[in-house]
Amino acid sequence: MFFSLILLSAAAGLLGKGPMSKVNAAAPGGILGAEYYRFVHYQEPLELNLSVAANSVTNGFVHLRLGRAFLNEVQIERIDPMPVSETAGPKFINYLIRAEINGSTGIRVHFVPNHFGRLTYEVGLSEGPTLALWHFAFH
Amino acid sequence: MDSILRGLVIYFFLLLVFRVSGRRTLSKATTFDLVLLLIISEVTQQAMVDSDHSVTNAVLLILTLVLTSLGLSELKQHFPHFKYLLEGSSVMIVRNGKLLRERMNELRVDEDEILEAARASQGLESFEQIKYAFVEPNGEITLVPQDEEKG
Repeated sequence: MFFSLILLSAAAGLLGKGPMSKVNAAAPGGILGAEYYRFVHYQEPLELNLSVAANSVTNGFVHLRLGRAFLNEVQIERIDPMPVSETAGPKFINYLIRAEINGSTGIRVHFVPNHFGRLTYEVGLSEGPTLALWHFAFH
Repeated sequence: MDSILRGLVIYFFLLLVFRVSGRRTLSKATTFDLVLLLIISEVTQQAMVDSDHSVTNAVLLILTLVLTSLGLSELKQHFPHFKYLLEGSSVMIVRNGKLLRERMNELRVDEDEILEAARASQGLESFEQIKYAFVEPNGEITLVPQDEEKG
């Protein structure tokens, strides 16, 4: 019975990927949106899917920034589309990413968590909104 | 969720493979069969674990496999037809010393194997001494010797 409950929790997404684990977060006005899994596993390849509204594009580029807390605790495998440049700041690393010509720009951050437990971090746009996100990594 | 699905798919796929490939695959482990089983286990392990090497994933996979197995055992106990579907039933291959060739071919059992089982389990030396021989669901060959006065 106890083990069945564990499996049911896992199937629901309380112990990893699953319907209850999926989170959608959005900044007011839908300028920046994020889709990711709340409950993840240690060193499991994951994706943070971001969408940036067309009105946040400057000169054909999106200025994305990822918080240091995130970058310190996960290993970024790659970012799609690949950033044209990146600059390090005290709290964030800024990525310059070429935007879609029409409509919103989708950005996928492929990463692997290198930590256990809860991680709170920020993802945002330079001179734009910032989202406070968190996930929990099980060993 | 992914772990559970992967575990279930692999479990039922292996169940199907071994059911279709025949019961003798399980018991007749030649050197090549052993190598084949090792390869299958390695491939299975990779397919189930994927790129998630966390302890949680391992725990979930183990629970999935064990609980699925327990669940099927329960079903087999309550529904005999289900047991037959999963495991098959004993098949007679020798009746009163006569070989039932068609069944033997279906199960890929040859005369030497029957005699080997006869010698090992009953100390019998010829087919005339065997009343009945069966291939059991686990792939083993079992025998009933002829009555004393006949044999």
